[in-house]
Amino acid sequence: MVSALVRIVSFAALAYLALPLVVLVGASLTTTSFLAFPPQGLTLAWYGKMLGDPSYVSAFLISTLLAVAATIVAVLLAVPAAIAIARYRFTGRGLLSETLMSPLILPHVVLGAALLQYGSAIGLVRSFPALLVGHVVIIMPFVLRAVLPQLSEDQRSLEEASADLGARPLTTFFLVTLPQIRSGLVSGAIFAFIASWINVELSIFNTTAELTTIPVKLFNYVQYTIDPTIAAVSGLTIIVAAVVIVLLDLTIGLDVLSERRR
Amino acid sequence: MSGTLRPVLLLCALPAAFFVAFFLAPMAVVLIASLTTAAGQPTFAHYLRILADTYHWDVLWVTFRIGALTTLVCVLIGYPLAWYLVRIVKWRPWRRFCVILLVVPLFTSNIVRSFGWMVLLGRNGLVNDGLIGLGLIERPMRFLGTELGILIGLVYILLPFIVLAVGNALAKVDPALEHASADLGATPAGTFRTIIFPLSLPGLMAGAVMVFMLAVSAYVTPALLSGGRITVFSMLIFQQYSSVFDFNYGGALSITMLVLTLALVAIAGRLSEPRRA
Amino acid sequence: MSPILAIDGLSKHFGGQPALTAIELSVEQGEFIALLGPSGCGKTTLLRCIAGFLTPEAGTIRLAGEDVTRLPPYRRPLNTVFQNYALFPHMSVAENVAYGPRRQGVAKDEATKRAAEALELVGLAGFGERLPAQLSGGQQQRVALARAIVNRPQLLLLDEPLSALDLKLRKKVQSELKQIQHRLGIAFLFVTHDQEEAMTMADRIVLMNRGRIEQIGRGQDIYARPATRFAADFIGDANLLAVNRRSDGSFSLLDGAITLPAADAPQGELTGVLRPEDILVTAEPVAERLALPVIVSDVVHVGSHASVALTVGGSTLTARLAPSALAGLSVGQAAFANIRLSDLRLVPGDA
Repeated sequence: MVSALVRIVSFAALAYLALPLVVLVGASLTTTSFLAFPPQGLTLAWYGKMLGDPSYVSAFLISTLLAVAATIVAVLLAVPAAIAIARYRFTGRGLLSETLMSPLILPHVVLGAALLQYGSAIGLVRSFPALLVGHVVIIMPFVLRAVLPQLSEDQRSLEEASADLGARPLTTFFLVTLPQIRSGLVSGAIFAFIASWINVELSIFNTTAELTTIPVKLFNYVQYTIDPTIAAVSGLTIIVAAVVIVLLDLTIGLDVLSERRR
Repeated sequence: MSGTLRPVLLLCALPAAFFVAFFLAPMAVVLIASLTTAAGQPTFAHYLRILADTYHWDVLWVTFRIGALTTLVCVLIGYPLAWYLVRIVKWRPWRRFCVILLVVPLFTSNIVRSFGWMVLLGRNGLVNDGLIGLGLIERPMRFLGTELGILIGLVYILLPFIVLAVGNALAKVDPALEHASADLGATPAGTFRTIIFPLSLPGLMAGAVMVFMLAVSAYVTPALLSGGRITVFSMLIFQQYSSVFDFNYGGALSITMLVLTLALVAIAGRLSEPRRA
Repeated sequence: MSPILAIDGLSKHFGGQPALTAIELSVEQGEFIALLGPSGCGKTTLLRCIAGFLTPEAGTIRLAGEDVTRLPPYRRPLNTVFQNYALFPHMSVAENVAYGPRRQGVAKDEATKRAAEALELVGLAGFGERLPAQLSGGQQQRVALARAIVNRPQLLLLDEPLSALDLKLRKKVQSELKQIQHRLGIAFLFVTHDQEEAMTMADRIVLMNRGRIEQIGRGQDIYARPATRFAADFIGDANLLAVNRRSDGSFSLLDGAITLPAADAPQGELTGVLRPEDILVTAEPVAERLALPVIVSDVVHVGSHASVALTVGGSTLTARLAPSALAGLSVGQAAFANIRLSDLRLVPGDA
């Protein structure tokens, strides 16, 4: 009885999760000039229109460039910090780790507003670097959170063995530490990339008509007009997300909900 | 200490400096701005204005009511779904598919997800068509611009967080504990009540706190699904910075929101802390 | 008195692979039984069938005469001490122990009282308020025991309960367990892979291999009269000798150095079992024994005794001697291994 109820709720919830994605991808294929679901006829014309519009192409490029750059900077900053936090006991260690993790629980609108106000004081507004620093701040916790648990105590003995065998710290890092934290680093970097790629709340303060990311462009657009081009743009981001996730599942495995062996 | 100081400095100097420059300093600027006038004189006027203005109280009330309802609905749907995925599904490919379905929305922006609901919940959207088709309503219901519409959108966006948090906790429960409980005479329902649920509670609390915070601070989803008819707190902040350009008052609103959210996080953290003897 | 546990024709498969085959076992009230065997022999599977976590494909399990084969675990009047204790991490020690009585509907005060008594019995009075994580491994083991006996089950199952303890602590807990079992008069069914533990603790040993029971009996009986080659090899040390059946029905061992008369030995492949302490090694043959000429190939001192390797033709025998008997034996020397044919047993199984 209870089990049947759980199944019904679960199927309804899964349908609820799938519905908007299916509708958007479906509506992007319609031949009508308004959004229709189920689509009437099938065409890729709206995808063509989107790719023919230089403002979309440039927004896609900026989003990608921003996400890649922010991820690289975040990894370069987060990995040394993670090693220090995991390997050394020092004053301010707790404060450091909590500060670095706090953007996770901070409303992005607040941070975006703060960066805009601060940026206008130091001349860092509405530019690629202005977008970049904000994105690095909000995505660094994802890298840190994924890497920290992998710098375990067992690992430390491997590093000590490496040092004992005559390796200098940097050699130990590249030959011993890095291979051990690779999977955490990869998944952390992917989550960081995605967090940057989909961000609206932070970017919106520092974008302009020319310098805009795809989520911000969509956001500004749908408030005024709704046509199948928007569905095509959305559809493309959904397809990109699905591909990334399937790749992620095949490489690092997403089966996080497997029960322990009984 | 001298032995560890050098490597710590080498490792931390850059990340710490970056966070001071682009995180702590901006937040400090906002805090200072919220306590000064446009001319730079210290004042509490902005906070007093927030306290005195009943409009702000209304917006706060709406924001937190939507946040609480979102959290409640997410828990009520998310716990059974997590249970289903961890305990009931035996066929691994199906569970994989479900997990992917759960994660794909997390990887698409709020805007795309909310846009999907704008299409679905419109006057001639699929939801109204379906309800009329089923004979449940006669004329299209209005979803956009109602709290119900915002709730549907927010639950949709935040449900994966709670499912993953609860699912992780459930998957970690040692089967030996359930065996021990059954061995000592507990029925399956008794084992759930006394063992599994208490052990999954920290995961549930963590997920619920996350959902509540994101729901309270959400901007995009309410902005799109409210159709301008409902205002939540993050919209007030955005207005001050993007159209009113009153950074001092906006700063006070930001700090208010931050303090309220962090206070709630701290309370929830205290409540969900594992017990110590 | 009827047996407290009677298992009849029990079989269990995992995905077509037999895990238990035709298990027959009967346990009397107050008995201490060890289920002994190498890992993968089916002893834990058998325990889980009895506890109710697995359902067998065939056979019956009776507890005090009642068929419980298909009852869920929570309806079976027995309790289990789990291998890694399975203490509930979110409950105090007292709550863990009171858990069983509470599930039986015992009022809270009474359950708490019983828990305190059980904790006292295992020597943990005053530890009730702690969380399991705050106890040492040995203390956790005792909590698990207290929790399992608080309901006064008629049968207690113990799944390698001492495997997580270090050697010295294990010896101590072994004797404590035995005392508690005596005091309670509950039958214990104890799974172990450690033959010494089984020998010292159990009234009877159930020796298992590949999902079957090889032999049931008192430890010293299995040692003295192993029923199979496996039993001879698993319990104690043994010289296992290849046996050739001659055309006249007699048996030849060690390339004809030993001949046994045709007897009512079992059919099929046989193995000769000779315990190391049954071999006397001397410079001259000993009267009334069969003296085999051997070469001493190695001598290893093991404290209380010495282990001597002897070469007989192409085979090696191991003898166990008291240090005093070693006088005059050195490696490479010719000597005699003196045995009694009555000490040599023929058992089924390929050497």
